Amino acid sequence: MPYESGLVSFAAFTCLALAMKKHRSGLEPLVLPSERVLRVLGWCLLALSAAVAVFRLGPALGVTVWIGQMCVAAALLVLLLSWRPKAATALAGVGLICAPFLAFL
Amino acid sequence: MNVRPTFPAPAPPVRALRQSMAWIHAWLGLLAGWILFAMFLTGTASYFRPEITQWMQPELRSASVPAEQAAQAAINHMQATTPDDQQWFIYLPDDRTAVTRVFARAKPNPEKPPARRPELKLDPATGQSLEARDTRGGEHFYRFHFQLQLPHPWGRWLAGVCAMFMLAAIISGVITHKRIFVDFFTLRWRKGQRSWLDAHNASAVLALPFHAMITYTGLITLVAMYMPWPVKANFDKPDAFTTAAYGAPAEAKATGTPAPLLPVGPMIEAAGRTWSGDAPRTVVIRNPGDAASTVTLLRATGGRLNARPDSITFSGATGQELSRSPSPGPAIATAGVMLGLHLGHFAGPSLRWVYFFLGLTGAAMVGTGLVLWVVKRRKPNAAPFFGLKLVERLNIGAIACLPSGMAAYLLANRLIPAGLPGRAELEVKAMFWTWFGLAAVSLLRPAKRAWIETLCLATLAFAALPVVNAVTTDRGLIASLRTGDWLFAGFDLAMLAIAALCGLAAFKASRKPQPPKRKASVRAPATASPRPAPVKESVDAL
Amino acid sequence: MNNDRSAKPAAAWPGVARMTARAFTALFGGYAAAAALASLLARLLPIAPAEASAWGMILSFLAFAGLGLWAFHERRLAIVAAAVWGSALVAGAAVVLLGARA
Repeated sequence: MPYESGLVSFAAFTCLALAMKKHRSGLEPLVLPSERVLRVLGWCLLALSAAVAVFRLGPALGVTVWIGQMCVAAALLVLLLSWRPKAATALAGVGLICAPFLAFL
Repeated sequence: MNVRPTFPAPAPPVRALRQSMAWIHAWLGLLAGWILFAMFLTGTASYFRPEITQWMQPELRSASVPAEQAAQAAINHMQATTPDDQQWFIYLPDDRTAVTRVFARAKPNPEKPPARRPELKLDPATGQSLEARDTRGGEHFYRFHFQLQLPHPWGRWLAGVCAMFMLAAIISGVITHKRIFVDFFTLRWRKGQRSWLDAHNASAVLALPFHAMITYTGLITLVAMYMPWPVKANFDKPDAFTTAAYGAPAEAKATGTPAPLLPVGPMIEAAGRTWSGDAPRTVVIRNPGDAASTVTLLRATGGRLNARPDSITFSGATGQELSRSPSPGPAIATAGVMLGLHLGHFAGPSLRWVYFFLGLTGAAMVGTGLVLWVVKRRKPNAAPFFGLKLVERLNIGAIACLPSGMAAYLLANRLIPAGLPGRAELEVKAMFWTWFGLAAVSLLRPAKRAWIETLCLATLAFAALPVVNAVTTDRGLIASLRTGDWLFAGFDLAMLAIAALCGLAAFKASRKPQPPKRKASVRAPATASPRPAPVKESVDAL
Repeated sequence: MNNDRSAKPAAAWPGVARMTARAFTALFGGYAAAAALASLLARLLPIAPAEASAWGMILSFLAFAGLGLWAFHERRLAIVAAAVWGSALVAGAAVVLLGARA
């Protein structure tokens, strides 16, 4: 099962979370893009994660895998965000960078 | 709404949709929650049903055997032992199941109805009965999940009612959750009631597609039993519907003329030509040894979502193809896909772990909801009312004691001597005695201590499993890592991970919620003692 | 739960009886209505009978959940009882009178 979709979903949810004031406060030293930019980026990444899954696995299995990985990514993000927000952000970035490599491997 | 509910509960004269949905959501969750938690845990475990069965028969080693050989070997065995059966349902081995499983049904006898025979496990290569410890294996958790260990049909009906309550709880929960987007990522720890609400919301909302899917498709798996009426509206005989929908031939009556059953190898080969090389997963033989015998081959569903397999039926006496399943219409296909989504057979190993993780999230949703119910109604200065005490004790019994029961089932498998007759029943008894026994003993302890102690026991029980495995078999964790036996190694590691989860829960249960931080801008009177901050969010007026 | 006891005393039945009746209507009446409506749908849909029956079965649980929840939202018990039991009876009678297709 390709994991790129899940990694992109994780990054997408991180963007959407950081677009909210209450979750930005834990990351003072980091300079984050504006709320609007993050929100747009988040939704775009979410769409990308769907496209990636469907492209790799076809519509039926693709949507199933997309939703499954998306739910896992969201749950893991919320857990991590509540515990170590900086680590969550870092992981999102790393995941997003790794995803294309996984996709073309 | 920190009001103690009166019993009898007052009628809801509320008009606001969110309020009425909050009210019914709490009742639905409360009444069905304990059973639903058990259904979620055992159902989640069932995604690894064949692996659990393999772990529980460590004497067996899987060897891949071609379908023709496995099928013929099983048929030869059945012909030698019980040739006068009415039907043999033969599940061929695959990459997850090392044995051939046979469900045989004897000819009906109106004077003395034959007893239901348990599943036979046969060696796939030789067809002989297996030399391995008798056990229900993963089948026990699977059956409990939708039969609740109650006699037919009460167990399935109760499970169905609980599933309907779950469906209504999901719908009412979504309607009532006002700040579903604003609170999407919110999870605050050690804030008492707020934390439980956050946890309940998070586990429910983040995996909402899964929870909604699993609940609805769960109802669909037993829809023929729960909702046969639309079929009766169109068809006088239910068999007519089955034939129209799946093309299965009506159960042919035995003619009484004996005719030997032809070898199935050529039939399997013929089916393979139609199915682009796919082998059958299941072979159903009706009226073996009779002139009207039929051999139905059911295709392995592989990675396809639709769990209803294609089938081809041959005459057992002449080898001719009699019929094949038609390609399903959209409604039948939808039902088949719903069945497939629930069972998850289509899933490869990593997707199955996704199912497992999301299933645990579902259990967390139910469990946090039950705990939230108690935490919301506990007043700091008042003695708990009877209903509160009852619910809290049931929570401990249903949530914290069940894991120990499941671990006990697995421990019993290793500790009960392999040759002891009736050991399969003993393993099952071990689970229920441990579960309910622990729940009863926990009544003797104050509630908070009971939570911690039962969760600690679960931690120990699961941590003991790899140890007991290593001591009683030659397939312990070190050995299986060395030989690359991923099933056994993975199983032992998973038990350790579950132990860690239970340990974390026990640790969290032992901690008090944080006293509320006072904002620097608020000047607190120097002599005031800190009071718990009132819960400002009237969200989900539960 | 609700602490607005200043609401008008409503009907003649006492609280327990009303709640029991409402719950009974939601659970059993809701089931009957969902089954009857699903069966009527299956009988009337102008597609292959097996397909129509399958759609009826699939959608029935949604109807059951919806009716059950509505039964606890609508304040007036009389309306709830009339709608739920009424639709069960009417749809059920229609299905029985129409008879099976095949």
